[in-house]
Amino acid sequence: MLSSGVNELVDHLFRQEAGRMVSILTRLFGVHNLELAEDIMQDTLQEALLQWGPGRLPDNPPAWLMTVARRKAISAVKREKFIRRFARDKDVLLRSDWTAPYVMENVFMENEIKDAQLRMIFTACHPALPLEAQLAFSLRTLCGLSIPEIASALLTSESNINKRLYRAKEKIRSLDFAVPLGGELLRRLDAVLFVLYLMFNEGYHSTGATTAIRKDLCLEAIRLGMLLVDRPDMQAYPQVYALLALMCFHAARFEARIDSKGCLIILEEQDRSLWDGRLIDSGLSFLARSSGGDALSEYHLEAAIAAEHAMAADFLSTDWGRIHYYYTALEALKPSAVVRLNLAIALGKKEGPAAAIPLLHALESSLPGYPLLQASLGEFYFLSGDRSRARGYFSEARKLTRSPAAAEVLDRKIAAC
Amino acid sequence: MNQFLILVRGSDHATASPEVMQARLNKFGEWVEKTLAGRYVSGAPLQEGPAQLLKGKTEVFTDGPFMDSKEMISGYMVIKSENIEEATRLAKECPLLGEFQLEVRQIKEMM
Repeated sequence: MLSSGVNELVDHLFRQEAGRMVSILTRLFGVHNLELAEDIMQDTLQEALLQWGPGRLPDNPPAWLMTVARRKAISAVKREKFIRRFARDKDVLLRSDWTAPYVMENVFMENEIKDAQLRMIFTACHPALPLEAQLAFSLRTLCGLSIPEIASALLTSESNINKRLYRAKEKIRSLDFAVPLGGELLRRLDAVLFVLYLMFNEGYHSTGATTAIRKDLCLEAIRLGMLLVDRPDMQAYPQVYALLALMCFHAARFEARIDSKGCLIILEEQDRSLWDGRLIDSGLSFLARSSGGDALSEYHLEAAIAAEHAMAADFLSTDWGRIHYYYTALEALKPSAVVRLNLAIALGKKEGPAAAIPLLHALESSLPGYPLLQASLGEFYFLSGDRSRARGYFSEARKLTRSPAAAEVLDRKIAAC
Repeated sequence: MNQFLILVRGSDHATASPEVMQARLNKFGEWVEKTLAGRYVSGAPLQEGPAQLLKGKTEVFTDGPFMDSKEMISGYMVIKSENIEEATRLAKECPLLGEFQLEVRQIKEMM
């Protein structure tokens, strides 16, 4: 048996490699044989569990997995070629003994694997699938999450996830396993970016999944985003860079947001020396590249806001004027009550509590039972000197919140009133 | 489109190293993917070793090869092509040429 530290490493490795294996095997067998690809991936992981042990990890575990997957794929081709058709452009080559070894040798190359992952994400985001199916399928197939893990990350039941996956697979079987071209590429790219954005947010905010899984989700979303920008035809699409910048800025704070007990720490109280400087630098360079073209997306604005936070030396020196400006633009582009809440907070930080309080009250009917609204009211009443009202709103927020870390912060605020 | 059989004649299996065979398979794969580009139908190399030549119900020669190794058939492939000229042009780019001889024949359509 593996020790628990090694276990975590192996889980992480399995999640990361599962998506790569399924993608390349699907490239070979065709998307109509997705189950065959999944079976081989599962078999490979099973074999690794049996053969790896304490001190018996191979030198290069990902390469080990790919080699075993390839061996199993070769047997599958030999066994299945009489009853199945494989991917349209590989079928004839896999059937012929002259060419099958050549295909098997060359398809497991790194650039082919990356290409297959892109095909997988673009297929997963096909408009024939509803958004929730796109997300569940991507978490399963690209991020290697188990069904219970997806259910817990999306805060829904396993049977619900099973249904979504079943419907997704039914649709996907008949789709082209390809990255679309031209105008269709640009349309589909919007859906791909949105799914990566949701994938990242699930990882970043989900209260259901473990920290290790959540971090893997965030990193996988970034990795898939990086695959996108590697393609020359994506250069004309600055939203991709904006989304990458946004994800890097948030991911930089991943560790600093979580205390030793696994509870979340709010931005105001984070130790900024724990922020990952390299990710912030990557974020800044992606943000710089996102300014090409005249498209200003919500990702641009959210990235710009995250950049302001990332660059402030401490919470007090945050440039609330700029953050207010970006939220104003975001509200114009994609109006929502949550954006208006952030707008009110930024205005309050910039101009004082009197500016924010009426705006926050105006949101009470559209955000009922939203703990952040109550906590913000508490905060601004506290700053304005009205301690009894502040205590009332903090207590309200304390009742509403489901996060133990937020509850702890609110307890302290209540005690200070 | 018509189909053409390409017979691969010759054999150096006794003398070629595994590396040479591997490199040859790779070049062959590239030719199929790039030059034939979808016109490859099927094919296989043939196993070295005894061949059986049936000349009648009772007359079977089992000790082949029956000719010198230059003429021995060591593989075949079927490709799609408009005509024999095009099939020949495609075959001329086959990396097996040199060590092997290729015989290009149109497959007769019966229906």
